Amino acid sequence: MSTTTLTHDEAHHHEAPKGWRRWLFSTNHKDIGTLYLLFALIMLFLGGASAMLIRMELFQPGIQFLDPDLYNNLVTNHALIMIFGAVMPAAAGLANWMIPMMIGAPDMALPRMNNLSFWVLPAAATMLILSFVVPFFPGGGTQINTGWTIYPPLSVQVGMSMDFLIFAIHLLGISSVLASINIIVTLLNMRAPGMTLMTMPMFCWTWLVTAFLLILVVPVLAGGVTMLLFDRHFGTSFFDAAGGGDPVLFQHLFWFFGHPEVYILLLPSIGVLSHVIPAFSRKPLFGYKSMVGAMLAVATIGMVVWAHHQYTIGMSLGAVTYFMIGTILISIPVGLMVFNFIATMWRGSMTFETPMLFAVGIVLMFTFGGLSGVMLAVVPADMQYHDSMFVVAHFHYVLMPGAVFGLFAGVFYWLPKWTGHMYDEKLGKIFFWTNVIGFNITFFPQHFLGLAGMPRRIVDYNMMFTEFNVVSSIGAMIFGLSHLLLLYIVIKTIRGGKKAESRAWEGAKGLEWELDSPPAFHTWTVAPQIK
Amino acid sequence: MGAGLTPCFSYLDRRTSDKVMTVREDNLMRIPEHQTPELRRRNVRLAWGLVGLALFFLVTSFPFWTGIFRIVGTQAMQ
Repeated sequence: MSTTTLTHDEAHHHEAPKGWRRWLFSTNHKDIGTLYLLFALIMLFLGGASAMLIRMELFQPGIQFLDPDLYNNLVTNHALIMIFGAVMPAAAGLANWMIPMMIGAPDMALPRMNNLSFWVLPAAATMLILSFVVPFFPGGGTQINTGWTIYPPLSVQVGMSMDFLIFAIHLLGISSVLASINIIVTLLNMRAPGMTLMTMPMFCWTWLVTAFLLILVVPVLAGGVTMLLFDRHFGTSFFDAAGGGDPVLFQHLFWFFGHPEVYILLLPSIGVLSHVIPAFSRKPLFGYKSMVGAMLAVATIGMVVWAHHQYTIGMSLGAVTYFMIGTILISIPVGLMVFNFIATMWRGSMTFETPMLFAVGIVLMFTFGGLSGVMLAVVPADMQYHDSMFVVAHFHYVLMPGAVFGLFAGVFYWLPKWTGHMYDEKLGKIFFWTNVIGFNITFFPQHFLGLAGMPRRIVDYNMMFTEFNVVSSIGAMIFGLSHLLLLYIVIKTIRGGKKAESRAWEGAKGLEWELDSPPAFHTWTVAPQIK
Repeated sequence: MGAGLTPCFSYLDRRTSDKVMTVREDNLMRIPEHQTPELRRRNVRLAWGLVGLALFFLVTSFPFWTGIFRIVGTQAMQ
């Protein structure tokens, strides 16, 4: 170990370190943001591969090549990898890259904790993947066939793969909570002088709310799975009716986390849209204050309506009425956000580069997903739709446009800033159209399948559902393979291309666009004064 | 730096008045250079507060409080 004495300027303006140590020991928000995004991309392809296997199996009725347990293993695996491995880390990657640059801070408030938050993730992902593969080894026990909701009593009976999953959830939870704490502290304490909460960029607001939601609900999931672990191994009966426990308690704990999780996935993308739509409409965001209010309303109401996922468990009439009305109420602030986006576009000087195409697509398709959500919120109707393919279609229409397309919009919007190169616009547009068309061919027919009575999470189906399933599976192949184009565009942009200016987009506003493209390794070491 | 943005202070200057500092070359995880001790203390204090909030939600997810309600209810009835 050697030491060196640096002058003041040298010490604070050093360049990026070289080699693997740069990444393993990094405390730089941009490097950690890159690591998050890379990790999310890898997991996107893993989760996507499992989805394509599911759709290949459902191409025809009868059992093709997956036995029922393995099919349900893949269903579990797909959801957990996409939610915890792809979407949440991708949103955290955007937050790491952009928040300090947007608020004029030199880095995150707690840089070493930032490093820990990320590096817990690969360990968690390893545990998660092991939970799917251990059943294939001698003595590995049964497949993890519970779905991502891991309801007892089935999850108490599953083999050791469930223990791997429980520890994976603990690690993922630790990572999320640490990252959230860092983001909140950064946003509250590290803003540039003159930047108040109500002048903060909207992406920062969405992340502030998201981070609080994470801190409030992830520990509840951790508590639930800890009790599950105790029921499995230490003789407790938290969820065992024979021992005085209640399996429905787990459902309440899970959905207390699970429903706000939808908004956790959604809100960062709403934040991205709040920058993309004004930039490409060349107008300021319509209704900044109402957006903040709507977001707070969504988060608050979203925390207290979890049991609309459990209408069929036999709650009292008063309880289901409360959860139904509360759920429908959420459509008001969500509708307000959509209205604000449309009002921002209204009479704007709009152009349709790839980020804007995704933004407009989100407004249309997310609204559609929201409408089927209102249908599902109505108790008597939900009794029919429950656990059918209609639910699968609904939540994919909410989460793919609402969360994933928003992240794609963010990646295309900020890629020139990150890499210093403009991406290939023509390829970007081809990616958008193949992606969106593939998505709609995949999931739109599933509404009809669900309404006609096809249950979800079942490997086989009645002959009468064949046509729509064929269409859906063909769409899934187009949709899945289109992501290879995304990978190609990103790699191509990193390697070269037209030089991006500091303000890569004509209508882009905000502190991040005052910095070079790509920005220096350390930025805003001298805080900007906001006037 | 663009128009309308003027440097008002440096986090670095607020942290150190001396003009040299010693760092270990092989340690990339340096003490954050851009925070004053006061800002650092505020950050850590807020972080611990948020850890407390998370722990509160973790602990209350265990259903011991249903037992407490039952005991309180029983005693109120007596």
